[in-house]
Amino acid sequence: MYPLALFLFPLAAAILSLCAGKRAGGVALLASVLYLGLAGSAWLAVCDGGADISDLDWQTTWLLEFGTRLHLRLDPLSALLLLLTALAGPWIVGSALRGGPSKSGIIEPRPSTYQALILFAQAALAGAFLAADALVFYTCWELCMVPIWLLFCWSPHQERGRVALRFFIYTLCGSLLMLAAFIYVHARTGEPGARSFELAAMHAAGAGLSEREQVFVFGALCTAFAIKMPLVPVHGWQPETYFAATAEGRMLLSALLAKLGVYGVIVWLVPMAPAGLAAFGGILVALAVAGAVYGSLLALAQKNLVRTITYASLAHMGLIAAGVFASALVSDGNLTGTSGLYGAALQMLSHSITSIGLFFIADLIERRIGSSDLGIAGALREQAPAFGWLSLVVVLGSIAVPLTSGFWGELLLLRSLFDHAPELAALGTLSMVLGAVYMLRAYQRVMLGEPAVGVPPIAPLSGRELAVLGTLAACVILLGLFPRIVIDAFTVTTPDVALR
Amino acid sequence: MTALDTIGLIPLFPLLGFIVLVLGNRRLSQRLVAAVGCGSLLASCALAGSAFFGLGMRPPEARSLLSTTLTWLDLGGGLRLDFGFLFDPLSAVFVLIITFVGLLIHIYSVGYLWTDPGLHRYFAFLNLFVFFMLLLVMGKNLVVTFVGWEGVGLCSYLLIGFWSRKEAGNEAAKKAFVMNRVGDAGFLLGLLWFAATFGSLEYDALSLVGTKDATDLMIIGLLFFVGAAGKSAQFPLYGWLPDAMAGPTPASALIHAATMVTSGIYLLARCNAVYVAAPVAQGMVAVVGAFTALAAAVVALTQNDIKRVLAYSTVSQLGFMFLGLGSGAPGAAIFHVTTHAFFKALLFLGAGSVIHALHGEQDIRRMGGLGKPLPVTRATFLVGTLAIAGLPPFSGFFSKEELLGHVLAYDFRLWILALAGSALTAFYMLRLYLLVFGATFRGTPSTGHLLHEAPASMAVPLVALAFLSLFGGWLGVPHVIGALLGHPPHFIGEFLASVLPVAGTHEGAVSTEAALGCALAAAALGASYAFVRYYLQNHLPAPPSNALVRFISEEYRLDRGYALVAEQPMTGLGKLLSTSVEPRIGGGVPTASARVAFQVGALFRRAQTGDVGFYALLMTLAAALLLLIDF
Repeated sequence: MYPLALFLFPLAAAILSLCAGKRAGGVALLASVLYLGLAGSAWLAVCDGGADISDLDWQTTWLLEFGTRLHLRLDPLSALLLLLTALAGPWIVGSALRGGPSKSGIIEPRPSTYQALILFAQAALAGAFLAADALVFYTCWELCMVPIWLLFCWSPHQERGRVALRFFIYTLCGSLLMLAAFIYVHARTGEPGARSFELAAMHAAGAGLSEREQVFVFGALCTAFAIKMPLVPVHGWQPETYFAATAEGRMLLSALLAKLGVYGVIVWLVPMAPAGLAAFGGILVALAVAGAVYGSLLALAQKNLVRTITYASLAHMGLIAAGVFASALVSDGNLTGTSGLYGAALQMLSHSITSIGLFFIADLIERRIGSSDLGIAGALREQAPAFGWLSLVVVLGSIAVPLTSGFWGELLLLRSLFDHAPELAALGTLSMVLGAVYMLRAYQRVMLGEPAVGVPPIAPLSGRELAVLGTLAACVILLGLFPRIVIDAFTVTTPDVALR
Repeated sequence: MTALDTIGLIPLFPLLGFIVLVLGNRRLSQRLVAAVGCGSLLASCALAGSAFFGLGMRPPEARSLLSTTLTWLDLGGGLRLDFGFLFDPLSAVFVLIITFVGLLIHIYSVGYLWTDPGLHRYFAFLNLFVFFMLLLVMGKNLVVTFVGWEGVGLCSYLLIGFWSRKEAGNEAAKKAFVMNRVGDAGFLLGLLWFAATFGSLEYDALSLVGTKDATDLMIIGLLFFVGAAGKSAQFPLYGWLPDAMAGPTPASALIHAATMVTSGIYLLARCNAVYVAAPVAQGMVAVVGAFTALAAAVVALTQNDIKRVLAYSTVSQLGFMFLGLGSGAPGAAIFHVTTHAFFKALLFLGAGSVIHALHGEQDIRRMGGLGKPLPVTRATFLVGTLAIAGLPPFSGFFSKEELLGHVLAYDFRLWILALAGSALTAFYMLRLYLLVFGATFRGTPSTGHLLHEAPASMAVPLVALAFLSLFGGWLGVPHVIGALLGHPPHFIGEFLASVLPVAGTHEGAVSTEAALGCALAAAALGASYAFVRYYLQNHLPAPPSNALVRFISEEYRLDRGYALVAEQPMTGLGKLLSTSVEPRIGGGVPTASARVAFQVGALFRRAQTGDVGFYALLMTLAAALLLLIDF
């Protein structure tokens, strides 16, 4: 019953915290911590390998006339992404819980609706990661957008409405392409009346399409997933959206929603259109690596911390996509056991942790100084040492220094790129070098040097802030020391729940 | 063999020291910080010493110990990323240097930074550095070495920027990290190529070198050399090292002179089999090494900052070591690493003592006559100077002769270059010594009054290192000198023989005795010219002023080269993309999609004619279409 519980728990928690009024923050935090426990035990059940299949797979009839069933299941990858979704919860809720003084007056902790929206987003994401049915996947995929969109209501940005609308329309374009592709493949799953949106049936039907059809299916799905990650050149919605979003909105977008795109590529795209992959894969890998370098170069040109982190995120997602596509190409569409899959799994986890951390750091600075522009503040590490040093750990994780979380993922992704084309791996290492440049430069300008003239010393971290940043930094190190805890689940599972 | 069961503890102690210092933070008293910082190194050094002798007791063929502590990742297909140690003569030599010289520098640092409020941070980083450095040389595979490799780079970054208010230090720290990253990218690609070629990342796999494709081996060799050039400051990636002197001087002594910068030599010596099988890569190493040795020595002639002169001499000496590696004599290179660790650490610590006495003054034009107030520093610095100049009977003489002998056997032209570098080394080092300690004090009288000899914690390491610089050469008396002295044993060569078989002979175009004479003459010539120029003339000679000298004294304007080749194109491209391409992608596509949506909307609005007959027609058509699709 894990899948159903994992889906319903945050939903129930969202409703509960909505009703909790003033205690919403506490309820949401408690719920998100309990949810982490639940996701953790589900993860262990998957890792265990001996778990009963009924624990990991749940279905009931839903819209049978369309051939769709409410089918949720846990495989290693979805269990990992659920763990990630649950792990992000306490940090994001914790970030939303912070009140206290800021440059522009006292900030109240976010209201109950805000907390409920975060939990609702978790539920929708869980649904998408659990779905073994295309229509369920699509529904949850779209549901994710709603809370993110609504969170813009709390943004202090002048043009939040316009930015949010543009973001919504842009991603909706992609989603509709995906829906069209799903319906097209669905129509080929069998005779009318015997058709199905079931994952396995969709894979079989997709692989049975002619090459030309597959090219179209691949193009449609790939566009949808690429917009979500996002990948260059369909990342147009990202910079402004991240900039205008609240800190928690940025965290949800970069840490969780972006991963939905990668997940879609691995689970839905690659097996459903193998011929499309063979036709487009080579170009896509090159495009994704070029996108990683493009993102790095743009990060280099930014004068604002949030924008730097945004483009860094773009670069990292590009490398993940490149690794996945490269491994898929090398292994003819079967990602099981490839370094692309392992690298993507590790790097998704690491990127989520570090981007939550980086956006949290940017928000801390924004609140204390009133701006996240580089060069306004200086010497913050001297004024708030714990803040400075914990931030450094997160930064090091982001630039993939060994024994931090980012290293192993990047190593494996580069390896999968290398197996496809060594020259592209060389280009990939360029983004690694540039990553060190823009991250250390941003760190230097904010944290080191002389204190800025006319800016009063910042307040040290509050207890809550220390808890969030401290646990983030701890996870960066832990994952760097023991990357196996992530990968073991992929190797010890029984065949019937192994990645399809 | 109990001493050998504990090799895993050697890096553990510095790590524990780091953890204690980080957790204890400001709560620890200065005394406790010093005790933890030095104590961890003492424990580690004692273990290293006993393991070293334990290894020496074993028969040569059994001097390689492997242990696996944990598996980081298992990628299937035989490729496992394990964490574990390899302890063989090559690692043992490095481990001993790192822990012993490290211990001395830790002790010295206590006196040097006693009053600094960041003392606990300093020792934490220094301990962490030793931990990573030990991982680097004790790793049983390329991954562990790479982890240590980037780890020492990180510690170097932290220590160069130790005084975070100093903008120059922050810039230098970032520069060091980034340039090392460029090298690391090469190393990483080499590592991937190695994995693809050998199907493994273990050093064991090197025994299969004979069965592999020569092109693959050449590429691996060249990529590893890119990594080594970054870490060990070879042309064109040496620009970070002179700037790195912005950090605390003892840290420079440990990281940027004695240990970290020799990582590249370690890596190439460890992978010697690849270079033996790939002569092109080997030749590249030799040529770049010789060129760097000479080019850096030329710059060192013109520098006036005491630490910068030493930094360039480090670059130059590292060039000699690479020249040795490229000449097929990794054993000689390792021997030079050893003696260099002694005398270069000594020189840096001596420089630190001078800077300490002068309260931060680093310009040698404002020094002079420091021999009287600083007798211990002067005497030990002189030993270091003569050792690096390669004059007998100091340690540098032996290791450099050994190295030059192999170079001569490899290539006559490179040998000539090396001789020139050797002569220049003797000149600029004597110049440095004489300007600092000779003649009379040229600084302001106020600083002159405050001159004081180093405290005991700083003096003891100086004396210990001077002792090693004086006698360390007897670890490996080259055969040609040995012939004159009744063939004393070549300890280091014999010890390393099981890992690094001595290749080639000493026979070349010039007889070995004549070669020895030439090398000695070159060093003596350089030294005596410096003596004439800076000692006998009792004033500061003005340097010749012409375009070439200016070009050299501005360090070949290498920074402008970096800016022109890498920095400006990258930032320029980033700016160009963010002003030209990105707005179109960011604004163009969504705006266009919105426009399409509105136009489609307008189109459908036109269909809303209000004519029921038209609606009926559309309905029929649509129903027909649906039926067509379904069947």
